[in-house]
Amino acid sequence: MSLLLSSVTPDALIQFGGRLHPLLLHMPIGLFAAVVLVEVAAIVRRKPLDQSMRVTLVWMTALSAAMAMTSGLLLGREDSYGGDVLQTHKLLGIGVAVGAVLVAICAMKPALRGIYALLLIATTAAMIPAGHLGGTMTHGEDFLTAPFASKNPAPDAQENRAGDESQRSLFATTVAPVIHDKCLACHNAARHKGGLSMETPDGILAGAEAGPIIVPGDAASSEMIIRLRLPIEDDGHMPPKSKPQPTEAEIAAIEHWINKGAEMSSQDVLTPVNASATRSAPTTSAPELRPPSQEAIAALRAAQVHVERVDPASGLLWIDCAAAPILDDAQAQLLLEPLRDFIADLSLAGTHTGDGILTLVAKMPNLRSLNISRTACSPAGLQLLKGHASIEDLRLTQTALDDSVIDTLAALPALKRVFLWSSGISTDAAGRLSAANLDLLVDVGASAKAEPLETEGAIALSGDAPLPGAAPTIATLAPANALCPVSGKAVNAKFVIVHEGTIIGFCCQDCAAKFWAEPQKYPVPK
Amino acid sequence: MHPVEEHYLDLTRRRFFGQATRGMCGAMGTLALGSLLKNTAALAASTDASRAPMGVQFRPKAKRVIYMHMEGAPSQLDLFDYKPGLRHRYNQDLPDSIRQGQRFTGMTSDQARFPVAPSIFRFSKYANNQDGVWLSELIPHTASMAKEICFIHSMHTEAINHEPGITFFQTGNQQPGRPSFGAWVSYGLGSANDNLPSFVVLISQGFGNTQALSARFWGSGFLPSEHQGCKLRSAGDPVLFLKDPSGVDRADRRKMLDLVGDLNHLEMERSLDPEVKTRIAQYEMAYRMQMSVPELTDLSSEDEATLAMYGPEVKKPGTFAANCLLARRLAERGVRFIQLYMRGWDAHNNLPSEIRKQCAAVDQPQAALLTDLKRRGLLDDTLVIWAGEFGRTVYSQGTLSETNYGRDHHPRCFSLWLAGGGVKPGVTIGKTDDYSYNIVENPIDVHDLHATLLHLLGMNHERLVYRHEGRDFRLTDVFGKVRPEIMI
Repeated sequence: MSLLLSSVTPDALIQFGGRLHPLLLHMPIGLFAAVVLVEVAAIVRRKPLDQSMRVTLVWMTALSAAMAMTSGLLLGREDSYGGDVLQTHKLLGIGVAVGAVLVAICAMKPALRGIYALLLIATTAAMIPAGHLGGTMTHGEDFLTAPFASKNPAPDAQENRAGDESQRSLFATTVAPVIHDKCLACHNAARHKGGLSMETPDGILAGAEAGPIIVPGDAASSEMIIRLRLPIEDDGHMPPKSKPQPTEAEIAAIEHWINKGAEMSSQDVLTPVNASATRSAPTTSAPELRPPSQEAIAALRAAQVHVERVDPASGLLWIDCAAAPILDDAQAQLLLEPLRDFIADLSLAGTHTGDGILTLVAKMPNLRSLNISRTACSPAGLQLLKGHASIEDLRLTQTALDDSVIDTLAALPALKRVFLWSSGISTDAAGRLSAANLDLLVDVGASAKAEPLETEGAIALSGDAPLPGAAPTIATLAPANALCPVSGKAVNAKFVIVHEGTIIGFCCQDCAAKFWAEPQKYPVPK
Repeated sequence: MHPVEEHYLDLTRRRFFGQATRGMCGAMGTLALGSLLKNTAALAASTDASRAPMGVQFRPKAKRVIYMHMEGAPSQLDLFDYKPGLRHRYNQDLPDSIRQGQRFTGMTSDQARFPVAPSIFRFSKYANNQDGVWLSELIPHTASMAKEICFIHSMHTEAINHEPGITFFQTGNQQPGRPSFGAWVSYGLGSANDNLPSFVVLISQGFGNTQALSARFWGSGFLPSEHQGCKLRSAGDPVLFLKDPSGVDRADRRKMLDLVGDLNHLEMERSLDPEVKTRIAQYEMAYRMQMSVPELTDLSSEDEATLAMYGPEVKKPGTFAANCLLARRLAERGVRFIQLYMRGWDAHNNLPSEIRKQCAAVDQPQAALLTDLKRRGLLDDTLVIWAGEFGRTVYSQGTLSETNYGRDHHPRCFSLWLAGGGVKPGVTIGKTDDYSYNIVENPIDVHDLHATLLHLLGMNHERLVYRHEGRDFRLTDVFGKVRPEIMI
């Protein structure tokens, strides 16, 4: 209980009052409508309205409008709101509240009936834009008109978009629509929750109150991705649990964009999804944006080929044919072709494939690791891989290659490691490759066995080491000197001190004290 | 009896409570029965989905594991944890300042004194990626691979006896009943070769004092039982009855399995018992293993030099050498978790003679396994673990002489090694005191090790969970920290 009370601070109360605004604002709307309706009804029915009823109604209206205005002003103090929309909404809201009070005052005097009528019409009219702007801040700009927006742009419009797809940035085509649909409702210029407005690229770059939301080139460290990837139950998860969630592919697209450097120009405008042709646009340059074909994956699995995502964030795949040794070039070609763009890690080791499949392998834009050990690949086949821009890891063990392969290997710019054990390539040739590129690890399977650097001598066991932590004995404190450095008399082993690592003996306690006071004055005799 | 009631009697208790809310509808009669049957189909589908592996949570460093468990606990003092100072403390009593009142096992607690037994084995210094590492003359082959290996000297465990010790190391808990490490990996990542089990167990008999090795060490606990380790036999055929009986051909077998499968599906729909699914899966696995296992164990494709590298016993089934070679072949074929057990390290008495024989059996094959994996480019994504369940004491159990001693169980510090799969190569982690009794630097417990190994496999140990008895279980229970110093 005391905990509860202690959290009731004036600030909290103000915030609480402010947050009642969405509730209170509906009362003046309804009451204004009621006043207008009864007045119109009275005119139509030619029956004068009962004055006491009119006064009650208009004062209820005035009171509720004042309450809505007060709560609105309190809510506006919260950081997450701001901008032109808020300013206009605020002015109109104050106007409506003041108007409502004036209406009520005028209503009390039958002489002012004309002014009353004018004021009532004017205030009700002002209430409409005020309410609309309020709704814009909560639900987003196009909330009201969205149902009328065309879901499918005209075919020729689509063609045009597809035509200039190459000119449109990654941001504009893939990221902006997601932000528009899933983030902008709360993080806009008018309602920048958490101090974040994502309405413009500059706003996205500026980040939130707590710091930047994007680390270009590093999606994993970017607050935006961290929040998107938190479990949905987590309070920090964005968008909040109750709001529409982005799909896995959309998150992956944002990650991809951040990893590529999060480029956007200040001309980029955030457009809604249905205004963009992204989803139907060809995206060969960035396959992560489009999930790999499930049919192609199912076909591979049916052929006993293992297919696994290399990580959940990208659509890239690890494909391993270890369980499908009967796979030959033609079958492999058929099965792998549809997934060409997605293969990052491919093992054909031990299958019946050979040079045939390497034509396709050469065209895999995201391939990083290739294992063609124990296959029938030949030097001529390997030449097809020449210039492949992304292969980092290449396993060629137990093959029938020859030294001519070295030229191909030297022409793989991204290559970091190559395994050549039992590949028919001579150690000399491998050495040349290694010498030409010192960053390249060339493993020819030479025995890695190392001889010892040193070996301890014959073992002699004894029990004479002092126990750890035992009190030093006289024997262990034998002084280095025979004569007392102060008096010159013979040293008494009872009086010893340790000074700068040397054990020094004295004839008596007084001499030890004198030495301790001015050690430099008394050279220690050997 | 009402058909609905009869139906419930067939359910297992777990299913019963899982279905309790639907049960209320069931009591309302035939109308509800229709919805119940619909639910059955939905349930079967959801069971399938729940059986799909979770997959990696981030990009892994390792794709598979070869875990060599040294059953009985090898002596860190005679193999890895070099304490030359102890040579001058021969037969001294273990100081109280070191023991700090720690418990002894029942086997040594009534000894009159605890004489320090220095290792009688010579150590040599091998180059690694730090300033070198001292290793025993018992393991020259392994030592020569020091540049690939990460030695951890600061492991500690909670258990002081074998059964709870191995259970803790294998399942993250001293009490039996939890899934084994391999079962968790199989559950989390699934198989990378549908023709072989994702978790395979190979056992080698040792030469020293041997302890019981229960099948539950590789059991699946409460996980679906297809994730339990599949033990290949160490003598004769690795798997029995691989060949169809004469007169039965492959097509007949297929027909039979299809029919049995149909019957099992009917039973599944009737009883909703998830283990029926497992049974169907196991029949299919056995059918595929009829083809894959003969190929796996046929060593004719191995060249002589490779066989020689593993040592003279490589062709004798069940030896550690044969199992190391088999482990490499399994790794090549995509098996996720390969668990080797080497028994016989429990040297309470006659440690020098027992450990000589043990090391002679494991040293060359395990070094050959590392070499073989490395030259094929497989070491980078294969995580190799070599560990016992605890360490051994610095003091002698039984009579101490200059040539003979024994060592009791010691959970407070011990050594193990890791290699490949994203582990930092050629380093030593952690330090013990001069007696190899207490850890003085960088203690690592079993949960930390599990968390780190799962991390290398691309899984967050806090998110690899299975709901059982109303709570989410993890390999690391509520413990475990990923240790970056172990990883590249």
